[in-house]
Formats: sequence, structure tokens, C-alpha cells
Amino acid sequence: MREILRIENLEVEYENKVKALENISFDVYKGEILGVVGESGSGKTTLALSIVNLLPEVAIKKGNIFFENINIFSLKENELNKLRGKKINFIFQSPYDSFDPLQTMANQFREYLKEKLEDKSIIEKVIYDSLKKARIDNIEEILGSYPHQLSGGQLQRVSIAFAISTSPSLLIADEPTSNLDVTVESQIAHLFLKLKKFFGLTIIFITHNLELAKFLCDRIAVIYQGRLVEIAQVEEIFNNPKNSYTEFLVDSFKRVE
Amino acid sequence: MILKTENLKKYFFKKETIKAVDGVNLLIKKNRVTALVGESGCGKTTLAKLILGFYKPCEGRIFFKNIEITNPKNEKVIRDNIQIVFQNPYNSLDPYKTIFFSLWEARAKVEKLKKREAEDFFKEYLKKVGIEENILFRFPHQLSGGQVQRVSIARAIIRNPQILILDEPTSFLDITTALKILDLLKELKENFSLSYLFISHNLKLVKKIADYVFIMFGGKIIEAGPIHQIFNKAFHPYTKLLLEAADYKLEEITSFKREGGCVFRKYCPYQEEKCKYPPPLKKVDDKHFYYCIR
Repeated sequence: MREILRIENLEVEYENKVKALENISFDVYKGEILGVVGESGSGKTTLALSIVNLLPEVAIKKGNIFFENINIFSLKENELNKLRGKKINFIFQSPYDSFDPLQTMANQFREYLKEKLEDKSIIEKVIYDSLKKARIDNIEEILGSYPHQLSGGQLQRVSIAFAISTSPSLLIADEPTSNLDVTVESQIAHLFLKLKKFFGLTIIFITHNLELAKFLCDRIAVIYQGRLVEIAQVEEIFNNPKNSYTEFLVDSFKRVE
Repeated sequence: MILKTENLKKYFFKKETIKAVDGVNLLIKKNRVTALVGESGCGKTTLAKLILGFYKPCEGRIFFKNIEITNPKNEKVIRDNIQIVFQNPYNSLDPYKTIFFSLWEARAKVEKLKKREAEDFFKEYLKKVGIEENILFRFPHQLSGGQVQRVSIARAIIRNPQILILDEPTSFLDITTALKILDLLKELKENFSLSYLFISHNLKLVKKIADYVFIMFGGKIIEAGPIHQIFNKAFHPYTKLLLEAADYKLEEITSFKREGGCVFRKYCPYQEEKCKYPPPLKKVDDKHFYYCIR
């Protein structure tokens, strides 16, 4: 089986009849970085949240999402919880919002893994290994710190360490670098590449930054007003866009280049 | 020259002394776009706040033309001539008040205009920044990010300032909207003969609009030059790093944990013994200079 995730005719509608997503179908292949690109309000985040069924109660969902051949929408809440934050894990935009400001990183990491790991005796080892994989050198120092003592880049590396500590098969990263400085963004982008290359991670990378998507992704899905307007290899999107909106986006990107 | 700072310093005394702005000589030329580029915490926003008189400098002076605006007596000169546009436009407008009211506060209230007159006057300005005049009685949350940023720009230019400080004016916006705002800014600069201080961390965006750029790190200007020279050949290791990062060529920076001397010494791959002391000023030509031993 090549695809790890299959989305079929996904439609999400909110109570005021606003269709956040409409008629979305695509596959995510094992070991690829799939970029989901679109502007604010296009439905990128709604798409990410539907994959783990984290949408608000009022949202009406139609269609199917298969993760490793299991239909996510047919799962009960407790079955879903076995996937969410484990087999499928998340990285969010603002790392300061993802942590408890009153706990050291070590405590938070232990608490986090206590819920997720069956075998509690390996917690310390998993913490150490994950931080190592996220390419953090001063592990002891980081673990002893509170969130406000770390920089945005350091915290985002720690969030990545959290996310990979559960050995997920799919990682969903929602604008993970938009809050970071350019020099840090470049380093985090390289970290994602390494995670794909060395650990075979499949990543859905949501971003509005076309340049970053071009650098990082294997394929790109372009979302516009809740619809998937184009999905193709990166080179195709940039050199030979089929959809007029994609063309417009790529043109704006080339103007900045 | 329309504005310059002389050896400007602003230190914050907390547990340790934070040298937010540490001896900066900045120069803004008339009808030009001067960019100030640096990353979070480098002191660029503190510098903007010093120019606007929000902070009192610990040392140094700021001149608008020949008037020393660091002198509290000249505060009105700042208000009349320098305006700022912030990154997040929703934070700069009162969410409970209509656009009309925000513009009213900026100009009409000061000049005691009648409501009817003010309305026509504002519609004129909304046209100039490229939005439909019927948004005048809407609230900020009813507008898109790009529209609200246009309103903030209108509010800034409605007082007829000579200098506009743009503090990351497009980082909140989508790229397609950001480009439109840049076009608008270029147009306004000509129509109102404005001078800009464009603050940003994004060198590529800066290249689209700026004439001259100051690169800031650790509270100091470490390199400055005409924008195309900086892009063609940068001299300071930090500027080179910024340029690499803009193309995602920067894989990892190692921090060396060394203090004192050159501000960039902690990260500089070329650092040597001499870097313990303040770096010398080197001139590439009369417009392009940097501070480094190399």
C-alpha cells in the first residue's frame, strides 16, 4: 500500500451554511512531504483538523478519510484517541501556546509520554532520543528550562521532539515556521527534511509560504476557497501550473524572487 | 537627510542590562526608502519607538532635519511629522469604533472639522489607499487584513507626515496581499513625497522596495549599504547568513558561547582572538560600510 492517508469527497459545513471545505479528494503517500498551500481563510487548517476529526461539534462532515485503511469518521472517540497524538501527531504555529508556562520541559515531556507510552520504563530514553532526533545539543539545559526561558526556535524544536516521540507514521505541521525568524526558519526547514530522509516520516506541511513549500515539499496541494484546485509534483506546480489560481499564486511568488 | 540618530543608546535595566539599542547612527534620506533589517530582539522596534519618542534614550540624540526631537520641548515636531504603521492592523484600530471614528481621531478631531466635511475628506483618502469608500462606517472586524492595513496606512498619512515608519507592515498578510500593499506604498511615497523607514526581517521583500538598508544585530548596526550592493556582495558574516537563510541554504548555526567584543561573535564561524574587542569600521565605498575585522 503506497498511500498512508486517503481523503474522499470531504465536505465540511458550518451551521450558517458556510462550506469550509468542498469536494476534497487526494492521497498522501508514505514517506513524502505534502505541502498544503493556500491563503488565510482558504480552509487549510480545517482540512488538517478533519484528518484527526477534531472539528467543532457544529461542523457537518461528509465524505471519508482513511488512515492506513481505517475510516477515521467511523471511529469512536476512545478509538480515535489512540490515533490522535500518537500515530498521527501535530505541530502548531505558535510554540509558546503549546506548552504549560509553569512546568519545566522535562516535567511536561514526562507527563506527555506517560499518557502515550505503554512501557513506562523507557520514558527517559524516549525523551532523550527524540530531543536528539530534533537536533538539540544542550539536552540537559533545555529539559531544565521553562518555556519562557527558551527562544522561539528552541521551543519549536522541542515541539517537534514531542511530536516524533510517539513514533507517528503521519506528522501534520500547521505553519510551524511562520512565527520564526528567517535564520531559524531555514534551520527548522532543514530539520523537517532530515526527519523525512532519516526516519521515513510522512509529513503534511501546511503553509502560506510558497517559497518554503518549494524548498521542502515533494508534492503540493493548492487550496482555494475551500476547494482543492490543484495537486501535483512541486516542479509541475511551479513550471506548469494547470489551474488559473495556482498560476496567479506562482506569479506573485516569482515577483518576490 | 531628513532624520538621523547620533550614537543612540537605550538600555533596559533588568536582572542583567539589556542593550536593546547600542550606539546606533541611522540616517533617513528624503523621498527614499531606508530599510532596517534584523531578527526578533535585535532592537529594531526599540529604535522605532525611540524615534517616535515613546522611549527616552539613555544616550545620544535624534534630529528631524535640524531639530533635536529628543528634546521634550519638540515633541510636537514628532507628532506632526512622523507616523507609524504596525504589523498587525487589527491591533492598531479600536475594535469598538467604526473606521470613520479612527480617522476622525487622527485628523478631524484635531482640526475641529464638521462631520459632513470630514466624511468627504476621509472618502478622498480611502480612495487614495485603494479601498471603497463605503467601508467608512464599518468596524475593523468586518474588513479583511489587507483592507484594515490600508486603513492604518490612510490613518497614518492623513496627518501629512514627512516620515512614515513601517514596522513589518506586510508580515501579517498573505503574499498576494503583501505585494499589493508594497505597490500602494510605492505609489503613496511619490504622491505625498514621503520618506520611509521600512522595518522588516525579510530581506527579499525589502529588496522590492528599499533604496538603502541598515542591518542590525544585538542592538548595533553591523553593515549598511545600497540595497543592490548588499545583495551582490555582503561583507559582514551575519549579513551573509541572512542572505543564505532567505534561500533556505542555512542548515544549522552553532553557538560558541563567547561573550564580549563583537556582538555577532557568539555565532560567527570566522571568529578569532581579535573579535574580543569592538570590531573596526570598514568602508567598501562612501555608501557601503560594515563592522568586522575581516
